[in-house]
Amino acid sequence: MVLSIVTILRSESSFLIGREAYSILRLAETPVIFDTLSYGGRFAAYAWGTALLVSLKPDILGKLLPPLIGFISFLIFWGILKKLKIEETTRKISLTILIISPPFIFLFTTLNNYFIAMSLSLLGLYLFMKNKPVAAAISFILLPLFNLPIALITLILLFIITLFSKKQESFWLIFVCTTIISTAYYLTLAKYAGDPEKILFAIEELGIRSTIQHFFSDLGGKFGLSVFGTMLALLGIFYGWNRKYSDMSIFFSITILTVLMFFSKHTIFFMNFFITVFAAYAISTILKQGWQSQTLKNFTILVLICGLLFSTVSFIDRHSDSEPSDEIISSLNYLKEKPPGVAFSHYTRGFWLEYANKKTVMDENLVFAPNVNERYQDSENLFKTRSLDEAMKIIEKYDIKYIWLDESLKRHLWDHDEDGLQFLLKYSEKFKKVYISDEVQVFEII
Amino acid sequence: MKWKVLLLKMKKSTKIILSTIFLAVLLLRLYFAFQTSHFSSDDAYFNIRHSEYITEHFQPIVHDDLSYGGRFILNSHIFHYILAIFNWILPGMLAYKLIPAILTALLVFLVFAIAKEITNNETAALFSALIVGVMPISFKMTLNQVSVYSLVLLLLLYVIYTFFDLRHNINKFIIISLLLPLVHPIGFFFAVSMMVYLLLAGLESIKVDELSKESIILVLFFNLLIAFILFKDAFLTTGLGAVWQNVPSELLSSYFRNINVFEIITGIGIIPIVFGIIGFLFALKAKKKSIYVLSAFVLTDFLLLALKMIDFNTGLMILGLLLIIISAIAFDKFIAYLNMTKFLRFKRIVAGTFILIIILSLGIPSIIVAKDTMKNSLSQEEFETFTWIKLNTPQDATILAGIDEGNYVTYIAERKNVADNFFLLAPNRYSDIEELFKTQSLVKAIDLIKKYKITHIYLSERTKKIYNIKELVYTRDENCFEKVFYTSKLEVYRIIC
Repeated sequence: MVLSIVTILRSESSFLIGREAYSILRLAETPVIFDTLSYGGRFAAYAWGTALLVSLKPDILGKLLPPLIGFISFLIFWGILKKLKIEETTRKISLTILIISPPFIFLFTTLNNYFIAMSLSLLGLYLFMKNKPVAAAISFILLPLFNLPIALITLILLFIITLFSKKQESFWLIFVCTTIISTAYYLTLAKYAGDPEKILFAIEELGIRSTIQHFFSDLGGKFGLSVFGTMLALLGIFYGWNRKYSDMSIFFSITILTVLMFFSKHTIFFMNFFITVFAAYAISTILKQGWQSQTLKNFTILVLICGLLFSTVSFIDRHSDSEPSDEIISSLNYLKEKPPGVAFSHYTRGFWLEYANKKTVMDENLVFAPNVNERYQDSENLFKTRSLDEAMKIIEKYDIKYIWLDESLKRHLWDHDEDGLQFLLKYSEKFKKVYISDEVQVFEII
Repeated sequence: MKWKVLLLKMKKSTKIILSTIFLAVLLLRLYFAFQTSHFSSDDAYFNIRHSEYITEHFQPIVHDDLSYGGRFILNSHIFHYILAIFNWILPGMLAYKLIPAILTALLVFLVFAIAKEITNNETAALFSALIVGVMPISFKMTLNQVSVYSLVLLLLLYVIYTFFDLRHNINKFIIISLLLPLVHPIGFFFAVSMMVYLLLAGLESIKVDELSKESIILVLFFNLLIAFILFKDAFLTTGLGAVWQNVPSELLSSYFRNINVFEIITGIGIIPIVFGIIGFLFALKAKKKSIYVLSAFVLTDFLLLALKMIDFNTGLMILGLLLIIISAIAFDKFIAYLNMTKFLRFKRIVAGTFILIIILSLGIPSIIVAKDTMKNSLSQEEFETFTWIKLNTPQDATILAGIDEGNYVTYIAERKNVADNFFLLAPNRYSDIEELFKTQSLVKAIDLIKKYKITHIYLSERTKKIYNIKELVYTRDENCFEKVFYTSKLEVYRIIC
């Protein structure tokens, strides 16, 4: 029900949320080794797992697979909690918190490269805990094909669990297999795509403030944790502090995940599961505890329920309203009908333009991308220049035929209406405005 | 209930002295406030405008069409509603002059009650009550300014007072602690201080009663909930910047400053600082809940000031209040020591001398600060200029004024401003305004004037001082600018090109 709310709130034409979904859908519709659209043509060195699975029936699976896998993950997590012998009330509360948590909603309401990887990770851990090392190993081996960072984090977690348990042999079997598969997969990609360039530009805003902002959805993080849930989890940790030695692996995992969060945002998905358990523990302790004041207890429970729901409602509202809008989709449909050519925009719009069947200068698949730093610098120069000569040089270099701009991008790139490229687009006859709506403008280069 | 017990136990002379202190503080504040028919800060006009709107329409301004040319106002408006109620009873500007002064003067009673609670010494508590009435920073921040802090500090001290004896005050505690975050984000300071209290108690192995723990959980989560409900949009757009109220980076250092010892001494006064520190040292020996609660608040305030996470003047005011309360412990010890010496015979002379020192070291600086604050009030000349703007400019005119004059434009002139100092959810226009007042380039000025659709420029003596200018050079171009109103200190230009 929770996952379907987002679906209900989205309109049919712009059903898929975000940018990555359009890349996966395109790859699923036309799985090829050489991607002719991305970066004007490149070896398709991507994590193919999700796209290949969706390719069985792209139009249906693109929409149904995430919630379906979400439901399966929910059941697996339930199994894990049972296996961990977590008390029934805590278990129920934990599962409730999980399904209303922003990272869970994000994972299983959008077509992304994480949801299957996360489910496989959960499945692997569950099988590992059930003493089925071979089955667990199969799950973990498949992981790198879906998402390499998630595979690595899973291995680290598995290592911590093993460190405090007696199942060390099974772990080494899994560790070796997964490492071999990951390395082989990576080396294959590197062989055909060449060594990946070191990215010299900031993909996201740098600094501790911005990093912390990404951790929490309430602070604007795309799939961050709920601040309220996190505070509750801290209370849960406080309540469960006496058990720190018996549950050493859990406390240790949380510490490691906290550190890892600063290096990989995918860690948030893992952290969310821990948060839900501790938050649930805090609530069940509050419920069971004999309170001195019934008024205080009633107020506190009311505040907690409101707080958890607030984060969810706020996130769903924002998530269901996120890009692309109907107008963006309309502009992409328009572009689809236009003759082939390179479409230029900010690299964050690359997946959309490729979905419109147009070649791009660059997109968000930065790893193994050809001349990624040079392309980025040229794009920046083109956005900033007011010199027609300089602009035309870059346009000719990449054979750019269309320029696609949306309002949010304009706000991000320029302060004034006539800054940089906008000046040229307004006054030069080299650019013809071929599509205009409230949100998008498309220019053709004459 | 507790108040009744306190009153019953109080000596008659104490009641008289305390009431005299209250009246003296109130009269002093009113004396200054009624020296002008205007107010001493631009913020005052923000609060008055919102409260008057509520009086008239029974609902707050959610989208302000005048501020920044149109923007959303992120405020709970509880303070505005309270002012609106009094404005309904006391028409005109009377409510805005009287109510904040009464609220601030009421601090005298609360400080006395808390000081009495921790020392059980009425004389020591009376000294603290007297000092709080003449604390300089309080005059700087609240005198004739319709300041929300008049109410906030009262609520903060009252909730601390109820926390001392939760068993008898649980309902009051719940009501006030739930009200506090709704009135002002300072509620969060209260919640953090409560956490620090738990930490301190834990470190000192002091058993915290269950009721206190339960209350702290409620306070913490309620504050979190309110912060994210009220300021959701601010957090989503500015992230952690919302903590710093989205103040432009150029101004951040003047709001969230480094700790400056000289400013602390002049703001709080040397007596509360010296006796506060001595009291603090004595307090740590006594393992008493009330002392640890106050210590937690001092520590939190100091920490937030050091981390620049609280507006410097606000932090200083809270620090001052807490130190004054803790000073009572030192006064108590001092009195007890005096009673053991031969000076006992000169008890009255010593008390008189001490009061004299308080008046000299705190009263005189406070009066200087008060005079200074009053000097910064809106002058009659400025008021008349804004009234002229109101009568002689089109309804949709946009007036450029200094950032600290934005609320004068919206309240008195009833016209759109380019910017004011309510920064939450507002676009950052500070550097453009600075450029407009400083630039000598006509092209740059026209560019920015067009950008913000400015129709008139209001140039005051304050703005000239802030930007260190004598005139706007580009207004010499008579094809573009027409001086439509001027006095010896003020000019209003109309843009005609």
